[in-house]
Amino acid sequence: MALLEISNLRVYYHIRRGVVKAVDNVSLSINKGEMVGLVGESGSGKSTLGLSIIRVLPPQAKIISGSVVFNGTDLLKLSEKEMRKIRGREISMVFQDPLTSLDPLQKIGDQIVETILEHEPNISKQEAYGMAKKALQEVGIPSDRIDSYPHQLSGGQRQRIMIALATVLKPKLIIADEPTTALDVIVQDRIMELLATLKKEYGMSILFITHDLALAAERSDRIAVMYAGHLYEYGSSSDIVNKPLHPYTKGLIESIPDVFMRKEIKEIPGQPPDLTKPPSGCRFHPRCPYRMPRCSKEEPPTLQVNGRLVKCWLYS
Amino acid sequence: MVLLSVSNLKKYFPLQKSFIEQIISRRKQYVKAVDGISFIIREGEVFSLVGESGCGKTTTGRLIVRLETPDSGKIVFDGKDITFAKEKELRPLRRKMQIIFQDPYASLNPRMTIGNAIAEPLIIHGIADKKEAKEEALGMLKSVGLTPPELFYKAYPHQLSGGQRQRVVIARAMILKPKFIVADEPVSMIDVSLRASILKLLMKFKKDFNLTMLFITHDLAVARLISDIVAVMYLGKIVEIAPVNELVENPLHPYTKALLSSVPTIMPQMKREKIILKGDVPNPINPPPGCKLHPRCPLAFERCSREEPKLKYVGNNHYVACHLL
Amino acid sequence: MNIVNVVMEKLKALGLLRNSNALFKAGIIIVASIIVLSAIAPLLTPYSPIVGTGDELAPPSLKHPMGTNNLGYDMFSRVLYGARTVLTVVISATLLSMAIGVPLGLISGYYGGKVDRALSIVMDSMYAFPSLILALAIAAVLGASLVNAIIAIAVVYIPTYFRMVRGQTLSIKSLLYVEAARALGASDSRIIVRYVFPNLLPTVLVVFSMNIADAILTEAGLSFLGFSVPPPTPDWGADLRAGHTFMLAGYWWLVVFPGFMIMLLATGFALIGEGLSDILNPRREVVG
Repeated sequence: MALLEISNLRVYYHIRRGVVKAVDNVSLSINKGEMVGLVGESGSGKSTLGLSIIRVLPPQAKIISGSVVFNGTDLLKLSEKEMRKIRGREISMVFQDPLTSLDPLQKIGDQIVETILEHEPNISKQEAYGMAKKALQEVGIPSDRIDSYPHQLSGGQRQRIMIALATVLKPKLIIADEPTTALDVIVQDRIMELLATLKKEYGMSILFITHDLALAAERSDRIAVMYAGHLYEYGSSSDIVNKPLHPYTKGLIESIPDVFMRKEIKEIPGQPPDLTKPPSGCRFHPRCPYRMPRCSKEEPPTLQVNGRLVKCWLYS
Repeated sequence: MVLLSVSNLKKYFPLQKSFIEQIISRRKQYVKAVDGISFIIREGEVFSLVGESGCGKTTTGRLIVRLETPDSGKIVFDGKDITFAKEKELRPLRRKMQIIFQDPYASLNPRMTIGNAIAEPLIIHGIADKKEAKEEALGMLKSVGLTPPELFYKAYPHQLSGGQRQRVVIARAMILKPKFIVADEPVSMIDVSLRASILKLLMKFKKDFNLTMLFITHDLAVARLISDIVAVMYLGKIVEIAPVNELVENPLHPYTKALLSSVPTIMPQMKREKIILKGDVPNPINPPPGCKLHPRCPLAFERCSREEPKLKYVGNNHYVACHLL
Repeated sequence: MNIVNVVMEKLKALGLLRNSNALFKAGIIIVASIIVLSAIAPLLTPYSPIVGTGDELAPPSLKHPMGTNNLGYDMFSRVLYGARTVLTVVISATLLSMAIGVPLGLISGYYGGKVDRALSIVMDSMYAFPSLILALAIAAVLGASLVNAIIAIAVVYIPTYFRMVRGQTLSIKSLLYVEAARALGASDSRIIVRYVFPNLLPTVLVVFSMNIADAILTEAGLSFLGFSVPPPTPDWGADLRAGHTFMLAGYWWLVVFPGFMIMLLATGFALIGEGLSDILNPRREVVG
């Protein structure tokens, strides 16, 4: 049984201009101990999907329908009180900007201790401090920094503390939303290494949300490609990168320069759509070089092709 | 033919001190953003400056177009020494030398129509009157793919997407048909699937107008795609310069190797010698003595902490600043 | 409400208004109504505001909708024509203020240096005075007249524009699009005129409307104390001056109507200012 099973999730935002169908009928599953890379551009709905799992969406967003089953329980049916027990403990989140996610007025050690005590009130403060020190060590921060304030540390170190905060209670699932986007490439590599180590050692699953297909491919077991609120392809990283099935995935790969390949890049024509008025049928069809008449009329079903999920009429 | 030559360029930014600090310590502290770099760019070349944040590449770009004044060193552009030239002398040169910034949202005047923004350089330099400038601007809109041009001419920046705005910025820079463009991270803030078209536009202009470019980026993949020559910067210094294929296939400096082993790629099997650097980039206010990389470098030895390595020629148009060679 | 829509379409065309809101509309309605009514005053009342009707201290009636004052002037007429006086003084003063304060603020903010320091000291000192007291001092020196009232009020608000424009100029001049213009080769004057000033305009407009509200109250105060337009020129503050002694005797209409008008007109402009401020700085809606 999968650790996390998202089925037919719809999340819409109500803004002045209209209704943004940010996540529209998306189904996705994550197994125990695997890293899934959720890849998409801005506006694809990937962040919304991540936030929906632990239900920390902004007030304009509403989960319209669907289920998010974690370890057998539908999270969408839980009360806020019950969700709070899950957040930080069973499922935790790492955000993009550690500067605004950490409390600037609290020492980092205290913040970790606070999180621990929040979920385990029966532990003594001393014990919690011990756990915090160990967590910092695990992420590569010398334990004598436990009394530092966030602004005294570098961006890479702050992100490691975010990871320490997220993993100190050994959650089963970590949702990492663009955790390395603001970091330099060498630091990024080390953070990814850290995530891989934690995943292996504690059997954690990671939902890694990013716009960087190459980064997701290098580190994830499986890759899910989202565009305009839909999930268009989902399969193993090597399959997706070497034999992409969906035209969007193909287009994406062909348009991204790569250090080790001086190739011709081909652009994807057109623009990402306005999600208050998405294109009819398949949302990618206006930009698709393989489109057929059917594509503008009916939304394609999600099909199983060679152990992969593809949402495209080409494969029906 | 050499179009731009930079020698031993330095720019230090003084640190703002609080009142108390000023009384207590008289020593002035500086951020050594650019700490003595030298390179040349030949006509028709795309020269990329790559490095992580804080390495000084953006400051270098700004120094070259003289948005900042160097503290010391020499910048010679098209035969003229512009290192300390005053704004009056620089103004005619600005027809030949343009800059494209990273943020398409912030580089355009929100109260100026797109058409006026693109025509602006022609008006500023008195090259065309209003009518001719409009004709030229409409032409540029077409060549950067913003059609129908009349519609875009009247639009305001807030009505365009990021990718479209960057095209406007490029049109504005190209309307004077400059010889040289500094492009500072021109696609970093653009959506991934739209970057290709902006890069292709730049490459097209480069070909059509025999443009010379200084391309500043932290993204090695983009540098690989577009450059002829790549220079790697670290903490205000250039550590390696080589033609792009040579740099990627035969990196010599440990920092370059570390970068190449960390860059995400869909062909990870191509990554070779994995060099891991310890710790984080040090504070540019107090850079390490000797070779700036030595505290983090796994191959450092005694000489590295004493003496700063100089850029040495190692054949194949390849230069490295490292005591290992 | 066609006039309202016309005004808004005009502002939209100038690129200054993308969406409007209730506050702004309410303010425009109030102010526009007062302007229109005072413009067509001769059509609304047969009486002159400065000629006695013979009926003194008459309470409100069909003949005199707002009653008459102790000199027999019809109050309704005085309120309508008074609007002309108040608007003339206040709008002229504010425009004069802007004409001096804005350019000084631009130059000070853009060039900095000794000029900036000197100007800032002068302006800050003036700003430190309560508006009515400063206006009073100037009007007392110049003497009571329409022109002097305009000058006195204008001087009071010059620092307001100076400070705001200087502050905005300082922040705008370090923005990327100004640097980009410099990199294109634009001269300082071109940058100030085409890059800095147009981007100040929205804030200047907001301050302008809030300012007029404040100036209306200052003018009322000045004329209440006898330092604005001389009698018998119709003016709401002057009516308060003339009428306040009669209020305790029960002749409330001498004071309530002019007083209410002062409040209404000031509120109208304040609403425009608030509405504009909301429109120009909308709360962002974030979608992920």
